[in-house]
Amino acid sequence: MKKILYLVIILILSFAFSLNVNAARGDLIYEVESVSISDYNIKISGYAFIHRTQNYAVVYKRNADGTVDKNTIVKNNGGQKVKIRVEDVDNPNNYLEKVYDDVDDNYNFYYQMFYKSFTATEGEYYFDVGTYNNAELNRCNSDNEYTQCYYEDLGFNISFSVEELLNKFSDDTKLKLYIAAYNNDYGKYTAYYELKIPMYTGKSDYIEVTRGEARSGNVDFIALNAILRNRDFTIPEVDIYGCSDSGSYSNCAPTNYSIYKLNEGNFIDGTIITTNSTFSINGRQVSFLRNTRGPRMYALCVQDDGYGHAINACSEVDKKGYCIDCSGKVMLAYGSWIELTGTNQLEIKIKDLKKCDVTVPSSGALECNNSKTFNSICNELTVRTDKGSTVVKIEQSGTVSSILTPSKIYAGGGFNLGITYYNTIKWSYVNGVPSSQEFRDAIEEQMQRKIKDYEEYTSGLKITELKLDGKSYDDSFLAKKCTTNNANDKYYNKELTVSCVFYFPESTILQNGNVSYKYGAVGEGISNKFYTDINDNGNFKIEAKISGMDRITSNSSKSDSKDKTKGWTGDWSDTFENCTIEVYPLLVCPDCGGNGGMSYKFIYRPIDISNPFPNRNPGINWFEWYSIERNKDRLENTYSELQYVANLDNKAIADIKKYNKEHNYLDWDSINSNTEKSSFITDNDYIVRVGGNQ
Amino acid sequence: MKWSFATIGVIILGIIGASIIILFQNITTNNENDYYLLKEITEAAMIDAIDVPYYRETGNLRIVKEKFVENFTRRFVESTVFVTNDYKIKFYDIIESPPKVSILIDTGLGEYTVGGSSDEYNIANKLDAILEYVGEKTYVPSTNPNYGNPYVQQKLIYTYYAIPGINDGSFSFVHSLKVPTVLIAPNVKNIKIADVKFAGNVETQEELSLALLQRELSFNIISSDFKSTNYLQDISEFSTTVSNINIDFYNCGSSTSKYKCDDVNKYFVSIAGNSGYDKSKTIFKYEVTWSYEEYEFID
Repeated sequence: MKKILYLVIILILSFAFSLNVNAARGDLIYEVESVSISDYNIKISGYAFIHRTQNYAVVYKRNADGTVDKNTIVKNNGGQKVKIRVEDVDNPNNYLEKVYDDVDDNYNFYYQMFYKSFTATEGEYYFDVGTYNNAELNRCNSDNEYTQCYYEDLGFNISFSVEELLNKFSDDTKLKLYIAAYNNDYGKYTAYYELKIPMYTGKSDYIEVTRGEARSGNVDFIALNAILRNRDFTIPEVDIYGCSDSGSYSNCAPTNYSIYKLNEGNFIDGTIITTNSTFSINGRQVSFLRNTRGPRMYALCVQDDGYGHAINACSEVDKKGYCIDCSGKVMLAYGSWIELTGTNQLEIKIKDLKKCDVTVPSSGALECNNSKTFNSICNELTVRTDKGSTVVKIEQSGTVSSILTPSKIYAGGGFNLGITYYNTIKWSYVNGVPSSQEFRDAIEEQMQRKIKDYEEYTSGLKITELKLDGKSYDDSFLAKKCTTNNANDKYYNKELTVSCVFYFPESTILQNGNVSYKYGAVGEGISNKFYTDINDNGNFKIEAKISGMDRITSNSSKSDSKDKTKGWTGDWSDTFENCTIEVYPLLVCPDCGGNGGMSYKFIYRPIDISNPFPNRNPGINWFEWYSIERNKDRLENTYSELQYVANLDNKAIADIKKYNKEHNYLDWDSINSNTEKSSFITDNDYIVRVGGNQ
Repeated sequence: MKWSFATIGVIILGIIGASIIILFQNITTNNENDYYLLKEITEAAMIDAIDVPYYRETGNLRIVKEKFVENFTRRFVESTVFVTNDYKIKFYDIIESPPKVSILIDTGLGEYTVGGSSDEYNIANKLDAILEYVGEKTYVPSTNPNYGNPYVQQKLIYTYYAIPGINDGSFSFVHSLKVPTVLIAPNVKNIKIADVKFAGNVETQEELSLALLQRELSFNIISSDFKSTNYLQDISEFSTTVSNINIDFYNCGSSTSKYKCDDVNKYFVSIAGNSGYDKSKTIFKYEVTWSYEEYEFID
């Protein structure tokens, strides 16, 4: 039994160790650094190169004595091109390709895939054809000249605009992405590889990522010619040639720091780290540290190399992201790249989402005794349901009108104000009516959700910030009455109409002359009046704002808008301007006294009843009355018409004085509002009604 | 001895003289007080009694009779400390509008004995007073052409909207017009419709809304069926052109007519014409020229 177990272990280990994946010539090596999506485009950037091909434009000749002859330049035009294909999953013949053929020198690998900025000298390393037999490693010029081969200018940056994608693919199409590369040395494009990305950023209404990150928790390091160095990049920890960095490869020799050798094409399992973490790589515990200088260099804290070297875990990093407490070896694996082992090829869906342009619904002032119209039209809006999507048009119109009359009134008199708002809304199909009833019902339901129902709409439609002659009134002061034409509230292809009218509430003029308003009460409708103050003189200003006129919900207006910061319907509120009436004194007259004191517009005048208006016209309120002869006779016979007698003795005087202490002269409570009889007279015997006054 | 009788005689004369003085002092001093009080209290009580609700609705002056009587009595009493005799205050023919009051205060001084004979002395104060609006042409001499005729002829033009139903391409209606509010004032009389003419078509929702707002303020709605305005009307429902307009108007009181006149319905406009066959109602506007006479207030 034990033998079988050992055999299994050996087999497993052999399998593990022999799990070499040799990268063959023509294989596409790529790494996507960044994918961002927005409402405008999807941008993909990174680097790519064709394994075992020459990519650089210039090759320096290295002489036999080791010097570099920069004068002798053999140009071998790199000519790298990277292309990304966006392909319809259901129809592979329908695709959109873009090629990047620019020179992007952000990504440069030498033959050992060192990152350029970390090399001490440009063009330092060379490949000694004579000493190294593996001509397959890096193909350069085939002659015997000492040449250096580089992978340079490997970056790509490709962007597909939403507009391009929508022009090519229809709404809701599933798309997969592929990548391929070309260079002059290889002479052709590689095969297409599924494009895998570590992650993406951003979001879009038009591009939906249906399969995204290919991170599955593991990555493969392709360690072709990879070297592990210490963190200061001075000593090669491991060199596949057993070299140390003494400035010359002629002194290559294994060092004491060797951990393990990486053979060509070895894949080391690992993980792209976002935090410091520890993983097992081929059975070895490796800590990955964040903030490695990259790309293509990874910081490791090798804990256990599997060869008996005791190495502790790295638990802390310094400001540069390097492991502080790595009792093992902090190593930089450079000259390597990763291949995502997750199976997700990048898949997206393009959404042909038509949205509404932001409208400015009205212009000009909103004045009293005038009208103003508001309009918002959305010519194309994509509406999606689980039964499908379609494009609709929405039209909304509103008219505000007002009447303020009369333009001139005596102080204490009343005026009328009426404001009416008339709103219509409807929608229709842009590309014809769908044949499926189920689909139409689903669209209808979506459209219905875009508008406020009748109750919500009419309760939100308000006259606010109401001020009458500078005094503020609550939103509930004015009475409001609304009606609609469609009890079912459907507005497909026909106008759903709502009309509301606002006016002053019912009022009562009390006997003492004050006015009491019953907030919001309908009364006589628009015939209800608001009464000015008896002391008023000058312009009486009416200020108000009308709001809530938009029947489309605020959420819908924003989500259907092309501009995410504004609703497409715009501002459906307004403020009344130039609403004034002229008030002139007719009872109380401020400043009529001449010295700033209050006086009256009328005069009090003792008269001679036989000649009440000597040598002049009777006054305004007397002229017509006095022109009637019988009225003149009545005046002359005044003292034959006794109406009241007040008999005052000391007791009556005392009683009345006591009454006076408890009742103000301007108190009208004693007067019956219907009969105009005084209870002071009725309930006491000191005043007697005579004749017809009884 | 005779000196003592002389002394007694002087004393008696003094008493008689003092009585006479007291008598006339009471009469004259209290009478002046009473008249002054009467005048002042009458003014205050008339102002107290102004019917403010009536003024708010009409702009005209009116007093409430019993409020005047009550307040006059209360104010008069308040100004009195002690009466030696009973007061009688008599109120005659109080006119509420235009405001006029007539008061007589009977102080009832009672019996006085002078030199052995007793007489009754009754002193009364009387006052007639009015409240009056003074106009531009109130204080004109009799030689002035405005004496006896202080009114000035004026005009006011108002636009009204008609929304009649169409029957077989034609329409016909009668409007009972309300007097424009600006003409409801104490200094305006002889209000008449002087002219009516067609003022144009209505073609926009905006103007339709204005027409609907104006309806209840401009017309006496005779039929209870149409008392409440329907604001839910769209301009597309209307025929917006009219033709063959015939206009008639009538002011109640001028002659007998087919129009039913009463306290409310005094001014009528009748219009007939043609409009489109495809719609059930039409809308247009007409202009009314109101003529009236105005007794101008002093500025």
